[in-house]
Amino acid sequence: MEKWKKFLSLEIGIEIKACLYFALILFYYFLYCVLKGNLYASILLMAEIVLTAYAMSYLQVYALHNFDESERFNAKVAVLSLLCSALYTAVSYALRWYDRNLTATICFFGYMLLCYACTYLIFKIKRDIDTAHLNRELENFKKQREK
Amino acid sequence: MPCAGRKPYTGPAGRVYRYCCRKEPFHFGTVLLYIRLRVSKGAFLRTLCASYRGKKEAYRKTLVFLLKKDYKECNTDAGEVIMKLTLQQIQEGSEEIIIRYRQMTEHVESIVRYLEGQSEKLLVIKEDQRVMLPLPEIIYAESVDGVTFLYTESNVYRTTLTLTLFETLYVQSGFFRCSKSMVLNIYRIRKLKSIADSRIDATLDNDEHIVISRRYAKQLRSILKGEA
Repeated sequence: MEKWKKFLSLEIGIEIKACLYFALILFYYFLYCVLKGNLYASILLMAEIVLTAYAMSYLQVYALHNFDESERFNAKVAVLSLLCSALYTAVSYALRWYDRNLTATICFFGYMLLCYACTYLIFKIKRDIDTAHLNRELENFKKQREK
Repeated sequence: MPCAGRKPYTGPAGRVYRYCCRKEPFHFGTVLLYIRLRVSKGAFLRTLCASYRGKKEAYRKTLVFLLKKDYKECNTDAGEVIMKLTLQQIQEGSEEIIIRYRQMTEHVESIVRYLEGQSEKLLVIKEDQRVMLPLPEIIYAESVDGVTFLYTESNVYRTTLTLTLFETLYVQSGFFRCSKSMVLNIYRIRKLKSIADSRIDATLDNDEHIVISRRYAKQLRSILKGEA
């Protein structure tokens, strides 16, 4: 039962991560479409983005130690961010998300790097706020006893 | 019935007494017989006098006195060691309870366990010696191979309590289960740090780091908020 709960917990984490990156990539895709003068988005393409995000999330969690939720942004995190961004870019080029437009593809690579850095920062800030909150509550808890 | 379960006398008087006990356990006559069989003649006469004077109160007091004396004698006959109880009222200084014992028997240990519940000290074992350890000194308790160890800043003690029992008894003193085999003293946590996957890294007073899993982290948060 414990193993099942642990598996479920990991799966939920992967779902959340996949949804996050899907939303980020979708935003870039919408931007690309609007700049092209096109107000319609392909459902098939969006399905490809979701599946890619899912696959990459599985890779990040099981093989790459969930690097975007790391405590510190060190060389390992930087290299893995580069690797995952490159993978996303390669998939986008292969599946013609941006019509194999070189400029859009290179910008997409830079955008994904930025997304990984922001994701790391967001999680870090959230944990720092939580840490401050926890320590405040710990102090209050100890003070209550002294009273 | 005083000394319930023990036959006080085997002779004819004893048989009469047992008959009276079955029929009228608290009849005046039964009680007199009981007293006569168990205590001295002088005490028996005192009881008779009290009853004949019609002073029921005196009779009751004498009876209570005699029965208490008799209860102690019963237990002494059974071979148990009776503890002498001395109460000393003081005008100044702090109140304390000192138990002097030759050997740590179950009886003594049960008294200590009862008193532990009233105080902030715990009877623990260190190198085959029993010591009283103040609860606030305990940083955490850990269960290893079914044995519970208590860790202070500089020592390790062993206790006969299971980890679950320890947690149950001392939850009000700030102890909470942080993992399957560990109970932490919240008051000995120096700082907390939120880490990935909703876990908490607790730095203790002795600079040890304990990672609290998500499941127990939730409980810790509830305790700190005062919800648990």
